[in-house]
Amino acid sequence: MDMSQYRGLFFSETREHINNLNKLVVTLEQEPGHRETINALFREAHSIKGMAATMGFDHTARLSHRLEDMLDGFRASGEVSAPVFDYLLDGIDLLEGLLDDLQGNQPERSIDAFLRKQPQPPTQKVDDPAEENLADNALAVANAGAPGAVSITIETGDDKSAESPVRGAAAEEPDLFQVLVDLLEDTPASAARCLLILRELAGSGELITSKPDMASLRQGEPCERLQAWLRTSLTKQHIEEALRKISGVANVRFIDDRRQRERSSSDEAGRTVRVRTDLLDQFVNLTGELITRRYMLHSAARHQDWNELTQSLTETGRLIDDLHHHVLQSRLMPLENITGRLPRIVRDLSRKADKKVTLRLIGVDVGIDRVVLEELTDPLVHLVRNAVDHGIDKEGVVTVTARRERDLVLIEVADDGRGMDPELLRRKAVEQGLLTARQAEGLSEHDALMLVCQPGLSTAEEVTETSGRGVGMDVVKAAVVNLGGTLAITSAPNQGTRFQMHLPFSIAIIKLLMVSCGGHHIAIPITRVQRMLDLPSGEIEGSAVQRVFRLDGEIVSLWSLNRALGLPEEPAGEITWVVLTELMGRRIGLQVDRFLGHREAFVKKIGFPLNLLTGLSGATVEGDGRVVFIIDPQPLLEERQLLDQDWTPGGPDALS
Amino acid sequence: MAMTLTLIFTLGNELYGLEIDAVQEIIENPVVHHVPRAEGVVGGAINFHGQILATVDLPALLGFSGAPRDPRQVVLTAKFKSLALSVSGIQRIVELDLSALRPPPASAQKSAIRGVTTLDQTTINLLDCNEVINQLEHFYAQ
Repeated sequence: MDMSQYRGLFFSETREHINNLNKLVVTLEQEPGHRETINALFREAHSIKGMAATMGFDHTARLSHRLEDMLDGFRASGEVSAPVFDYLLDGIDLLEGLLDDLQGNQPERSIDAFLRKQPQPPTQKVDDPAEENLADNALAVANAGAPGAVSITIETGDDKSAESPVRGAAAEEPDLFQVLVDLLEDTPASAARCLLILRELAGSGELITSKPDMASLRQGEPCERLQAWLRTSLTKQHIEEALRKISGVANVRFIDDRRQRERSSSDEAGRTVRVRTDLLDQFVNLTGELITRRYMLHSAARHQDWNELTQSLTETGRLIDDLHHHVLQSRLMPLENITGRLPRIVRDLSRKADKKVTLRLIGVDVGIDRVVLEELTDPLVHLVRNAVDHGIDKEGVVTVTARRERDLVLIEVADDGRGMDPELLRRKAVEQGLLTARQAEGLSEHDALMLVCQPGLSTAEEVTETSGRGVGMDVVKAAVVNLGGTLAITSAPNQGTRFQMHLPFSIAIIKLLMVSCGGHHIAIPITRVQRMLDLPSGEIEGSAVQRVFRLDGEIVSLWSLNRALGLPEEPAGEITWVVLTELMGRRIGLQVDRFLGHREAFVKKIGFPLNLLTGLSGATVEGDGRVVFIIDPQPLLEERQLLDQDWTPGGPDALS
Repeated sequence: MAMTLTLIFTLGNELYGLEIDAVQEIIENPVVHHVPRAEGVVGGAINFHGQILATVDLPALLGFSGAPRDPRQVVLTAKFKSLALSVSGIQRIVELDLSALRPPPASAQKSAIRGVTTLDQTTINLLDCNEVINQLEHFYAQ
């Protein structure tokens, strides 16, 4: 039987089961002996085993069988001892690795080392199974009489501890490539050296396979060229340096593996999403009704029955709205899909840093568009990591809250830790040459906090493995802005920090405000519009360079969208039409020629080179066929800020 | 001798050639929509079967100032980013032997020519679509 058509389903379901396993183990650890949790764990492992066996994925099936057996034992005894948790989690990680292999169309990695191992007492550090296996081999060969091998073992051991921070900090997707190592001619004990090289490689990433393989090396087969496939986040340079320290190594080369790219593209095509059957039934019903309506429209048109025609059109409009709503529904997935992995992450991080962190998840069943959700995964994980690593000192609570706010979803990551100091950020920004002292002084508290999103600014006094390298927050902010959302930070010393992301929960169809500028129609996402104002032109103050107006007792800068878009400006009339938007927590007025109203629109992606134009985020087609571009004012405003270094939105300059 | 179907068009007074394999479609008189901030080398955008494509003003990009524009546009295949090219004049499609191209004259600095051949004693410059893309990238990357 051809199982290939079920592959996609197998991967998506198994990843879900793995997600649940991770969550459940962490829950069980907090409440050992909780019978229902043990049962649930057993069922998850059992499901994976069954599916993997059907698919013929032998290693995956055997590994999940082992986990199932263990859990069954706990079910019987009703007790789980502490060292078991690490073992279970290692096993779950290994399962995930196997899935990666399978999805990348590669042979499943070895699980023998893991199966041989028993849960370790807590004092003993649990090593990466592959690594341990290799270490055993290297020692075995050394004992067999390869001179010098033992000392090299120690050397590489030192090496490893020194490089671990580098490994942790590299946040990029690991790369898959081939490493080719040539040994010097007539190197004594070449097999032992190759094993050492493999060990080194296994320590710097995930060693997938090698030629010759370890079995033949262990038998002492001489070898002058070693070929290994490695997936790692480390740079090639770093690996090369480490390998060159091993004596006998003549040459190290790297070949990028094309399979990696192929894999990501095939993932894209084969992605599945689960839709509830009642939703599908609704689709069928609605389409049926639309078909009926079409015949009624035909008939009304034939009889030139205007009454019937108008009525049918109204009804068709309602059906289309309904259908639209349901289509959007089918794209929504609960935020839980990505928060599921957070408990495990928080557990591992807090153990490593010897902190006591409680994670609270609130409202994570809120539905968000699949695309938004995918883009959100990394930023959310990063914010939570940051909260554990920097926010909380020794003990505290990290809370992830989600809720709908009109057209947006609010996702908030808050900690009750030491908080951020705007003063420190101002100082760091000046020290690192990002701002002049005067600019820093002029920043509001909110703007000063937003400085953490500047690429390159880091306040962490020491670099830790997980964060604090000045990368990250700029990436988080870019991801949020790309999705058409906003990021806000509130914090005070010793009162915790709160990161709030406001995101549209669907991005394919959005609400737009249509305006007219210089005779052209321009669309602005409604998520970027705070208010629409029609100000008597006499209320505009300030100079020709910087115009301002007063709103709710606050001074707001005003600038012309026409000018920003390179369009001619109309002479001032009695009324100035202003779109109120926001940049870094401050309100800014955008002057337009006229408001044309709201509309819901399907966003079309724009291709090269339109996608390079600042501020253009998409396009939509109006009823008359006119193509209207969607402008995101945020990058336009930021660009202006860059051009005009001393200009801060509504800052002290605006007041004078 | 392998012959390649080639679209012949003009930029200013010069003859250019483009392999038919790179051409998706030639469209008559498309409605060109305004693109904010496009500044010169992108003349606008067209709705091409539901895709929003940039129309590249090739004479402007390659420095043929004051040249006329053909009302038709050449849409490139997805391999060349589905760009719609505006040229001075679209002429005809001929069979050319592209196996023996001569290098372009060194004087043509801003040119996007991947080689030169001859048809009826006239010089034909083969358009280098990748170079057009490079120049656009360069133009918009600040």
